[in-house]
Amino acid sequence: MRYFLAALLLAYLPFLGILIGGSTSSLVLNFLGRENRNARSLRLSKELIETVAGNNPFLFLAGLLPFPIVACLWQRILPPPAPLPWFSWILPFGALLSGCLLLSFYRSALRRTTDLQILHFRAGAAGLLAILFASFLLFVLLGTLFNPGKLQLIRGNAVFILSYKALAGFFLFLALSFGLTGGIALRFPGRLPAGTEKPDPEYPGYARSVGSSLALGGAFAVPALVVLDLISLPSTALSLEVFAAAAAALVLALVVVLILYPYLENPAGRPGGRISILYLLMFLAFVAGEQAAVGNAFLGRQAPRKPPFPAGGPEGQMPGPAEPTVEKGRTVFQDACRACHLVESRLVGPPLKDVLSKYRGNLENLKRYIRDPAKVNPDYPLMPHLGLKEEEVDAVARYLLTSVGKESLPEKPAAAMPAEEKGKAVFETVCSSCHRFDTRLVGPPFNEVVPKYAGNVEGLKRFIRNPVKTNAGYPAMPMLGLKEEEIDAVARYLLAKVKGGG
Amino acid sequence: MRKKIAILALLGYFGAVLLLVAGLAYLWYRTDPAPEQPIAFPHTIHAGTLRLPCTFCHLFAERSRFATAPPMQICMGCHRTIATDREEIKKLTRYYDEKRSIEWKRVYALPDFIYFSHKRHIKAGLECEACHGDVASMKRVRRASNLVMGWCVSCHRVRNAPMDCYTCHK
Repeated sequence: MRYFLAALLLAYLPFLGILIGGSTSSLVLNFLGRENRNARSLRLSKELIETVAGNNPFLFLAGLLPFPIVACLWQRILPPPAPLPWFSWILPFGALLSGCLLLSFYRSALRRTTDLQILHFRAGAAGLLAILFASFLLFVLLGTLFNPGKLQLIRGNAVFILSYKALAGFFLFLALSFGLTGGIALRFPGRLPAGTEKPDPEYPGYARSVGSSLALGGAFAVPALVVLDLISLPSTALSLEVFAAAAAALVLALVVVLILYPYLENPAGRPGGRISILYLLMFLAFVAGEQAAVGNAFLGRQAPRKPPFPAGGPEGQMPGPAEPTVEKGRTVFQDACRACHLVESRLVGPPLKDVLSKYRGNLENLKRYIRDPAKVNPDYPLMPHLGLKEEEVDAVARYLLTSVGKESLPEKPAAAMPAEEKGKAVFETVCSSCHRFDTRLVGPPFNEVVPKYAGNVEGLKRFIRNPVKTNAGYPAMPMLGLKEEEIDAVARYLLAKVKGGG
Repeated sequence: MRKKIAILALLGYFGAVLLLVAGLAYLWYRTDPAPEQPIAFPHTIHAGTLRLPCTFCHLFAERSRFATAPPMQICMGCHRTIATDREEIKKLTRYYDEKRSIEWKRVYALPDFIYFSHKRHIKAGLECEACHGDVASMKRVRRASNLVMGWCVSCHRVRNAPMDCYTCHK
């Protein structure tokens, strides 16, 4: 979308530039010509405005069409809510439209006679002012794009729409426009005079001097304005491409001066075409640089948050024949929740029996929390986003509300359970989150640490009851809050399991 | 003679401006907005895919003036077991085992004479993204705001935050 905007601007800005440059110089020349009774400047004035408008007044208006598109794009590419209401675009567009209409009025008057009535001249001047104003507004709007942080603030305080960047960009645009107009004016001398006017030997020289002074003035103004433009950019919008575009514009301006300099002393050949192309290239560099700067400024601002990835969730779970949801919920619970939550006691997160009671009969709230956890209790770290699929969230929420604590999970072992089985169950639900027998996980491998307690069940039980940090290479083990008989069972189980244990 | 001087002046003018642009580019390069970090920590995974909240690692953002880089225990809490086969994690483990701290390159730095508190701004309801951009989509963190005074003031003005000089210049 941004690239489309760039291409549009690339086509649009030179058009607007010629419009402004051509009509300004035409008006000024016309004024001077009438004051000094100078037929040459009157004729150049006429030729300039005719180039600008083409031979068809409708062409004049056709160039306006991109403007609503620019407006629409500008509103769209910005993150919602768009900083400006849509009707605020009527002002610049209306100014542009009326300016163009007034200028075409001026042009058609000039076509009939070079000796204008004051009314026509004033109409032209008003039209020119309107167009200048509209393009200034356009640059003000573009200028806001370089500082996306401010965009949200515009509705709160309209002053923030102004920026130095807009001013610098506008003046740079004007310099390029007049340069381009100069380049076009330089092409006139070779042309045959239109109509049946008698050839004027002085005219080519006159057109040449006007054109080359415009082009030279533009070329001299460009470097200073390029620097201003760079200075006014916020540092977040800068990048190597922006500097490269600025340097390219400078070099092009230098080439223009180098072509025109010998031409001034010895007018031979027709540099008009070359100069025009150089100025068009400068426009290209200008738009490319602005585009890169806007891209930089928006980097990491534009992208909306992506929907959560299905990450880490168990995949390819085939729903069992009986009670598929409960089955699935149990799997998700084992994979995603159990590492941090126990039913009866605190581990990393709070005991489920405490927090789940809040959601009794409120499945949707629980699902919402699992989907997007928020910090509730300052005593616990924030639960991370788990990235479960929607059906997994649903299954585990149902499972949590219906089955946890009611199923014979080892935290509530049946009284009849033999001690060894009970120890194994506690190991599997509690210890195995962090410990393996043979490798390190979060905690050290059991085969390394449990043998220290060989023949010392009480010592191991004491450690499990109240863990202390012994090895700097591992984080401290949390208090597990197990019941006394569970501690006893798991301690015996571990000692029996490890090599070299009791 | 006059011609020579004119050409020299011409070249001098353009040369000076070119130098100026080069100087600006160098200045920008010196304050690189996206410095290369000693470990290529991907916020895209931690804040993006996993959607860990910022304060999961930047522990003190809500509680003090400084958001702080996380202590290595936070990294190792998970990366003792997760993704240990990756190059960058091995690098991290090496730092940890050698008890060296990682010298992260600072992306946002305020001068000494500015008083700024993360805690206040979070309490006022600002999201981290408002100033730091969408970090979750940045492979390497890039400065999203230039932290100049006008930038601070414009936001303060719109949100009716204190406008007293003393608020920031203590």
